Amino acid sequence: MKNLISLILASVILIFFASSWFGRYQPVSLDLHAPTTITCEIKGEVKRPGVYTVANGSTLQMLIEQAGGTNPEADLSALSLKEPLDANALIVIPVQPEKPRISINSAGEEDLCTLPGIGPALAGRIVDYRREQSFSSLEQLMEVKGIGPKMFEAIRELICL
Amino acid sequence: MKAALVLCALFFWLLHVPGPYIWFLAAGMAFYLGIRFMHEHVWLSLSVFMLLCLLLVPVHHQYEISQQKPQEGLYRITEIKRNGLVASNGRHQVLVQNWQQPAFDQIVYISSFEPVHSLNNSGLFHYAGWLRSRLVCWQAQPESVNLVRDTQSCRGKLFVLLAENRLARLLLYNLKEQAADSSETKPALDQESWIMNLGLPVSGFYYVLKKRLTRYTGSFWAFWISLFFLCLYGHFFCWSLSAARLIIFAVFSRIRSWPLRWPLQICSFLILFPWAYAEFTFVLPAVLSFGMHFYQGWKRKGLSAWILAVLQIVYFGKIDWISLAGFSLMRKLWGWIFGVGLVVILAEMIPGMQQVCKGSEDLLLQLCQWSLPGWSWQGTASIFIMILFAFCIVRMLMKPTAAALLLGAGTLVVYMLSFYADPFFHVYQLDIGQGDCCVIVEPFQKSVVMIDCAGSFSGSHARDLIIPFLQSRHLMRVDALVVTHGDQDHDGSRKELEALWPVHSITDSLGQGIPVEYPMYSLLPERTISVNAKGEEDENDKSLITWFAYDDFTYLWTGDASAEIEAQLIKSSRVQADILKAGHHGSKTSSSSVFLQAVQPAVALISAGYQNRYHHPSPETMTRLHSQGIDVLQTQIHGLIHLYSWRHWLFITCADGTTGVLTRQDIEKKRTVPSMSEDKIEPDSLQADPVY
Repeated sequence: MKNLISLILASVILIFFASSWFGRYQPVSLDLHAPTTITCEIKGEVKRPGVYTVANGSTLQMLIEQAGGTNPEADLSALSLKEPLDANALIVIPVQPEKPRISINSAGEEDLCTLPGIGPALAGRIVDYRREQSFSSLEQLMEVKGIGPKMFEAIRELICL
Repeated sequence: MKAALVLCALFFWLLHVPGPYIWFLAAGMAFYLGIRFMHEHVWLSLSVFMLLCLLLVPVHHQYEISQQKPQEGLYRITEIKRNGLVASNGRHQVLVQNWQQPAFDQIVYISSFEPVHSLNNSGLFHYAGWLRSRLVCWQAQPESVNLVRDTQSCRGKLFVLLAENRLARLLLYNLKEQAADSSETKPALDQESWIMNLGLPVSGFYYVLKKRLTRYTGSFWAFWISLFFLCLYGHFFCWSLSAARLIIFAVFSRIRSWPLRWPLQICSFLILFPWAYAEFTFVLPAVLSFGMHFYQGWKRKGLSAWILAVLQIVYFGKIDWISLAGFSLMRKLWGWIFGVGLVVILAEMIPGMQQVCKGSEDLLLQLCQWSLPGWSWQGTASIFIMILFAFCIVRMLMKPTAAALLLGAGTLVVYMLSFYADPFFHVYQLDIGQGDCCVIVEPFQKSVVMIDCAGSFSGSHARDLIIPFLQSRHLMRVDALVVTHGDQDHDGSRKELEALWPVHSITDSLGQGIPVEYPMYSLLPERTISVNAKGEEDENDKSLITWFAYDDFTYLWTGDASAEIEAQLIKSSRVQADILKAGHHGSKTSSSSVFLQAVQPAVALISAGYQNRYHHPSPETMTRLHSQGIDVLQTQIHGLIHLYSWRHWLFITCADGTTGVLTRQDIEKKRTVPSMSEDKIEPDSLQADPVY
């Protein structure tokens, strides 16, 4: 009986030391150790704002692409699209600042030319039209020769009386 | 009746260990005595025990008093030690340091006090702890001590007279020379010499004197004359504990019957010096005398050698083979050195004899130097070995046979082998004052790595601290020394360490590997270092960052790197670590919140000096650590921090007694629940049900 106990004790100690010797650490490579992906949040003027997991070292451009691209109102003038992203970064794409609306009654020919689709010829015709009678509604602009409903819709947000 | 007395004395001794459970223990002991001596002497043994217990009440009260802050006033210098003086006003004892020209019985006025403090590394001598056990809990602030009256006693004047004499200091006052002796090429590695602790010169001379006198005058007069000599020594030089012990034991040595003599010796010593219950100079003779009673002949010699070996391990963390083999011879040698030294010191007083004596004085000093360091096996026994020793002692007393002695010898072999059969992975963060020093030991001592080795401006850390520490863990080499950067508080001891200890490789530049088998890397070899106003690169930012993993745990040591480097580090790699050594001693320029969030440590270690002038660690860092729920361990509070792991378990033990166990699960649970970013929310679903 006594022999049995000491035998068990000795084998337990032996197993303990043997298990202490082997398999105490796993080799870790340094490359593996670097994170492969990072997560970033993007919101503001993008199609699908939210939290995205992108590859480590991705640029802002790649993140915007993942988010479905920017809205037309997005203002990227203050952002560097080439910059690598930080982990857990929060990016807000700002909206373009609103330009003052152009008054079709008082603006000069040059100002009218800045509107999309309106060149010097059309601008001249608008000025001619308002010499006879001033515009009393925005829709009246369509009475000018050369400005159809389609063009009017394009510039409607940019003009005022 | 005899057994009852011995048991009473033994229990009385045990009750001196302070603690809240002491009276329960006493009740238990009284109960045992009652049962053991039920049929004979029950009243005698119980009443003796009760009487002794009553004597303990003022002793434990005295411990409480010593904790209270002393009042300013007049103090008398009562003891002179190597590291300071002890002054007393009858109620409190106070340590006085940096006192020029000390002498016994000087009266000083002390106005302000602070608690005693010293570096606390378990396994090494802890001065403050030792002082506290001697009821010296406070020290005078250096500027607040003023001399009121110089010494007028005979003892004090003798000390002033002999203070310059190195031989007298060593032999008569047990004041060993300071280690900072530049002429010494080989360092005195045996700092806390047990020979001095035991007061071997005096006791050796006592035995030699007694033996010589017995030959001429008979034992009666020899006894009284040598006792008279001891009293003279105590009165004129110092009442060292060893001398007092010798007198008490000598007084009762005339009693022939051991069961009466031993309890009387033990109890009278403990009543006079209750705080010295665990001093080596008392424990050794008491235990020897106890154990020898059970053995006869050659077995008695074997037992005394074994007891000496075990006590040396417990008290000094080593076995000194020379003293083990010839303890009595050594005592005799010291006795003769003391006797001859006494004559030389006396002769030097005579004018004209000084030149003659100088030569013999140097010779004696060299003899002391030669006999101080020994040939020894270094290493503090672990708790398992201590348990083994305790088991062995019980076995030896139960059955005093040759087999028991053989078992004892076996335990010594186990003790010696235990350093190479250690199954734990150890990380020691040393308490080295303001600076860094960390020692990492692989199981079975496969490798020893040291990260940083701080220097000291006032002494030598390598000689006084780092090497004694390595010895105390029986680490006889350093496989790799990682020097994070070239500041005094990180590499100050490097040269000395290289000279004194085998250091196999040194890693001190970025991109250099660390030659160990387990994963241990120096991270961020390429980094951008900001330039300060003078156009120099910041030295701290060049710190090597060490990451290592063992068992289930990962560790990150960042040297003195600032938050900028930390930011670059978390960008370049995923450096999660369970244990973080907070950078730059806890300065606010390191350990940024972003970094802590990325690393997610469970425990942060801070190595900073007690009352350091940089005020490390800064409150900002502490707030950041606390707000993230990270446990903080500081060397200035906890002393040495010892982490050791075995597979899934990580054990933490600090020198001040703080302990803890961590498992992998604990750490995972502790890490804050990951934010949304971890949960891979599909962008489309977000759009359908916006959360913001």
